[in-house]
Formats: sequence, structure tokens, C-alpha cells
Amino acid sequence: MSSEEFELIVIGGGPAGHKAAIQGAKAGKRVLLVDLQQAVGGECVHRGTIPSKTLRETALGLWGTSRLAPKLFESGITGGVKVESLMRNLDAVRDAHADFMSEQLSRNGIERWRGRARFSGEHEVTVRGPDRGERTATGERILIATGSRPRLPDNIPVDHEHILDSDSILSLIYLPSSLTVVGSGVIACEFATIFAALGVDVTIVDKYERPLAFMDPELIDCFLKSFESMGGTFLPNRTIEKVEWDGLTAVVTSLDTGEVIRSEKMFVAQGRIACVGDLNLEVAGVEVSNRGTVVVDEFCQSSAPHIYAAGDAIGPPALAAASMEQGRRAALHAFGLPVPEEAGTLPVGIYTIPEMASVGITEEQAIAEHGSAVVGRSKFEELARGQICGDTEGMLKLVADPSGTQLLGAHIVGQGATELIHIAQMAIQAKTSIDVFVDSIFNFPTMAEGFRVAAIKIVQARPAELRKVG
Amino acid sequence: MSLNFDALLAGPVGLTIQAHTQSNDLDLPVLSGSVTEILALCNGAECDARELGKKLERDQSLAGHVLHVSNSAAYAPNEPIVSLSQATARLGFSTICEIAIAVSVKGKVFDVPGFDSTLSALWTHAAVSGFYAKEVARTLRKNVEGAFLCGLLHGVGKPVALQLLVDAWSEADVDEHLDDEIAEAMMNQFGGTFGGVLLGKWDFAPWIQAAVEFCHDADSAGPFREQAMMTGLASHLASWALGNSDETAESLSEMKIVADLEIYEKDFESLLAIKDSVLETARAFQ
Repeated sequence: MSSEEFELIVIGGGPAGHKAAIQGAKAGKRVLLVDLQQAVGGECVHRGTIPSKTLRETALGLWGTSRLAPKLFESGITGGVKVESLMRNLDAVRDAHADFMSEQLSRNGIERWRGRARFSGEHEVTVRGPDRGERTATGERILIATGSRPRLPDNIPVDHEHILDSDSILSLIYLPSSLTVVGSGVIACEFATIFAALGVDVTIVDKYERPLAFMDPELIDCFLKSFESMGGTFLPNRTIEKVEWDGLTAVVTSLDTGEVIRSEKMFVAQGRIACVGDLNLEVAGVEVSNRGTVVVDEFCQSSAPHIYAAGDAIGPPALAAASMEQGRRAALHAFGLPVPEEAGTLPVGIYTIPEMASVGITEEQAIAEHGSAVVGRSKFEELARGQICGDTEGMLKLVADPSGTQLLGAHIVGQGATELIHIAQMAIQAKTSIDVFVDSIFNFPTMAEGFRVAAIKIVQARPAELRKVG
Repeated sequence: MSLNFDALLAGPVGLTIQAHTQSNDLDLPVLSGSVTEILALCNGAECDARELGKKLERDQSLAGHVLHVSNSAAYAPNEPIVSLSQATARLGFSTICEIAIAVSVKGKVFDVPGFDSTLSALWTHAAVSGFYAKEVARTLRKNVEGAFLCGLLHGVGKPVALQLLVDAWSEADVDEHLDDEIAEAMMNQFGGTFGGVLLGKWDFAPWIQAAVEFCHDADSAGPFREQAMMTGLASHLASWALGNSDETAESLSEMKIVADLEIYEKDFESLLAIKDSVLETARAFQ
């Protein structure tokens, strides 16, 4: 079989692969992009981020309206509502995004092959299509961006009908009346709150004490309070002993505490595993960690110098935004082009209801690193916009250095958190003084005013010799 | 076949058929009142088990079938289901709905005198397609719940087409015997279209109508192309599993529809490997 030659072969067309391919093409290289699917975008566009956020937008709208105009929604959303009807514009959103990405690939002259790729030599990749046809390509440089898939625990029989994972949860036809969520990470909490906001009786079960343990504890307090106000239940410190579909009407979950939960459906979200098992990486001499991810350095270069990896294939943070940047940096480094300094801050956005966002370090980390920290908070109930929106549980927290002048971190829960966080990100990256927030004029009424409120509190809490109230 | 089907369509039988199809004057079977009520109840917001039980009780034939199917291997009850309320409470609304539709469709549609064995085979194929459609959907992480009905009903237009042919044959007073080959050609030609029309009349969701109507012509199914392809593949798998076609595992795996659905080798082999369990489960509906 003859082999076609490329300067860059990208395996996987999700956020990391897509950006790497474009970067390679912009550098004037001949690029091949291999993906399992004809449609571009990977799981992010077709099963993950885009579809779940589309459903969330509906849930958020209904939930917000029901809080502002409770009389209009006295009966709430009843069980049996078609999930599809709650995400009517999904196809349009998804197609628009995929078309845009596809058009970018075409415009940059990137060749695309559909199929499952595996290394058949150090520089050679064999691609077997769904039509069982095989083609071989040789690449000067190769980037692995094959993404991840849901991790399925051995003791839970996921059948994608009654017991679902993040690949199948949105294929539900009807909104269930009750849902048990296994896990309390990002995906688990996002879906738990989306379904709770839609009126589903949701129970989160996890072995940990608190959900989303990497987030600021104060945000999690607000999150839990809000989740419980929607009728949700969080059961911490529980181990699942047995899960079974009773064959008729319910998923029965037995816990180590003796508790038994019966729910119409179950959603299992216990992390994801990198899709690198079928790549035949041994042939290429690529090292894989004991967690099943490709081991890379700061430039996403693997143990085989001509092979790079990016996105979920290399493990955390496994965020679409970070994956795109990894792909871009990997392509630049692969061809000896200048690689910009790594962004000092990586914002985290969690699309729960209410949403949460974080950038920089937490109060605990600041104390550990600097000996102490000055913290300022703004509760959304103190803001006119918070009252108008009915978001009285939200909160913005700024963490400053011990002198109270340098912003080290920001943590927000509530409406607009994932957008607001970028203000803090810019301030941290530009090493802006806290006083800039105090001296700036923010639109009224906005949630962004929270930055000024929190900053004033930091200034007031400064050591006396540094205090200057704006 | 003594008569060529194309020639037949050009003759008096064909004219009668055309007249009926063009004027939409089809003798479409009506779902029994109780099934319609059950469908409405299950699709409604206020679905109540007692109400569902009452509606089942009013249709003794349907009630008997529900109990029969409830106790079959497909639903593997831990203990025998002896009453309708027990069946309703334990099987859940959607399953009761599926059973009610299956039982009603079998009795109302798959009944053309003189073609018992043809329709019996069609019904078996429908049931196997239903369960295979679930497995195809499961493989693709799509809509497992809805796939069953698409598979089960994908051939529902064929008996309608056959009935029309029988009526037209009789009306045209054709001397020759209406043989199986002509019957099959008629069902293949009009089955999909009539299936879509029938399900439209029965108020099934548009995506189910499209999946049924275009299961062998998915490119015409518009936004429901994927459901149509899944249903089409389930139909092919059912034919293969039942030995009704010349398809082999290899030829099936090379079908364009498999590539279009992006079902890769390992997953497809898994679908082939569950043949026996699918056939066993489908027996519940026979």
C-alpha cells in the first residue's frame, strides 16, 4: 500500500486537533486531519459542550423566569416533557459551529480523512475507514488529539437506556421524573443542576465530602444551597454497592449505608479516560502514563520527539479552551516557530445552575503561598442587578496578596460568572492594582459592579499604612 | 412470476392503485379506541397508573396480550405478573405503550386474508427489527427508547400496500392468481410511503414517521436522516438474523449505511454477536 506524505498529521478533529491543523497549515505545511466522524468538532461539538449548554440555556431561562414570575409557573415543568423540545435550536447551533470549523479547514487547504487511525510505524499512520477501506499516511510530525470518553465503573451496568453516561444522557426522549447522578465532578454537577432546574427530582451520590473539591469552598456552599432549593439532594461519603435496572420501572441503587435509591434514570459521570488505547502507541515509542494519558512536556511534545499530544489525550485540565491553546502551541513548536509564553492564568468555567468560575489562586492557596491574604466579597443580593435578576445567592470573591494591592485570584458563583471572570483574568495577567477596580466606573446596574464592591472591601481591610479608600 | 409488476402497474390493477394513492384514498387501519386513549394518556402530563389500568381493562383482548407479553422473557419479571395494575406499575408507561401499539398493530394491520404466512414473517421481521434498532441506537448512544418503535413499525405500510393490491386485484377482476412475488414487489414499492402516511394518521411523532417512511432511502428523510438510517440498518440486521436474505456478516459490514452511520468494525461485530439474544427477546411479540 503506498503512503501519502504530509508534514503534519493530526489525529482527532476536536478543539485541540482543529486548532493544531489550522496552525500547521498557516505555517505553510501540508496537513492531514484524521477523524472518526465526517462532521468536524469532536465530542465537544457533537455530544459534549455544545449540546449540554444548549439544554442548559433552556433550563436556565425557565428556572430564571419561574423565580421572577412564580405565578406563571405554578405547575412547573411536568415529567414527560420531550428533551428534544427543550433544545430545539441544537441542530442549528451544532451545524453552524461544525460548518464554521469545516470551512476553516477547507480554506486552509487541510486534507481530511475519515477513519480510525493507528500507528503502523514511527512516522506512519494507517487509517481504516468505516467502509473498512485502509489508507496510509506518513507524517514528518504527528499530533495526537483523540480526546476522551466516559469512564464506566465496573459495578454500574451502563446500558444507555436507563443508566446513561455523558455520551447518551442527551439522547433521552422524555424528561425523567427522577434521576440519580453518580459522581460530583464538573459534568455530574452541570447535568444535575440542569435537570433539577427542569423540575427533575435529582440525587447526587458521591464518595467525597463535597462536590467540585477544586473550587473555592464558599462557592460550593452557594452551589449546594441553590441545588437544594431546586429540590436536589446531595449524598456525600457514600459508596455505591450495587446498581441494577429492576427490569421494569426503576434503577435501584444500593449504598454502603444501607440506603436504597429508586429513580427513573441514572446518570453516571465518574470521569473520562483518554482515547489512546487503539493507537498502537508502542510502535511509535510514545510513553503513556499509568492514568492512560500521553506523557508530554510543556510544549505538548511526547517521548517520541516528532509526536505531540494535546487536549483530553494528555489529561487535565481537559477544558476546550485549554485544548485549543495546547494544539496551537504544539503545532508551533513542532515546526520550530516561536511559541508564545504560556498564559499565566487559565480561567475555569463550570456551567452549573448557578454557574461558577474561577481564575488564579484560592484564599487557601494564597495563605499557603504568601503567609496571609486579603479577601473582599460582594454578594449579588447587594447589587441592584442581582435583585433585578432574582440572583440573590450569587457571590464574587476577590483574593489579594497580604498588602491588599495585588489581585491573586477571583471566584464567582451566580449569573454571568463565566463571563465576569475574564475581567479578573485580565487584571491578574496585567498585574493591575486592586485600586483600579475601586477607581473605575462600571455600568449600572450590572453584576460587574461586584468587582468594585469587593475591591473596596479589600482596600478597607488593607494593613493601615497602605489603606487608601477611593 | 407470470405477470411483470411494472406491466401490472400499467394495467387496470395499476390504475386502481394509482387512483387510490393519488387521491390519498387509502383504507388505513384505525388503532383501537383503547390504544389511542392509552397513547394519549402515556404522552400526557398527568399519566396515572390507575387510569391506565382502567383503560386496559376495557379492552379485554389488549389486556390479555399485555399480560402475556409482560410475562415473557423480554421483560424477565422476577415474579409472575398476574394483574393489569401490577403490569402497569411494574412495566411503566412507556413499555405498556410499546406493548399496546405492538399488539394493536399486529391485530389491525398485519391481517390480510390469504397472506397469513407472508404477514406472519413480516411481523417477526418487525419485532426483530425493533429490538435490533434498540441495539443500533445503544451502539451509537442515540435515543434507545424511541428506536424500538421505529424498528417495530418500519414495515407497517407493507400490509397496507398489500391490502390495496388485493382490493385492486379483485376490483380489476384479474384471472391470474396473485402470487407472492407480485405481493412482495407491491409491498417494497409502496410500503415505506404508506407507512409514513399511516403513522401520520395515527399521530406519531414526525421523526418516527420519517424513520419509517425513509428507512431505505435515508437521504430523503431530511433532519431525521440518522433515525432513518438506524431503522434501515436494523431492518437489514433483522433480515440477516432471520436468514431472510442473502446477506452475510461480511456483506452487511460493507454496506454503505454502516459507513454512513460511522459504525466501526469492533462495534459492528458486537451487533452481529448479539443475534441470538435479539431473536430470543423478539419472541415475546410473536
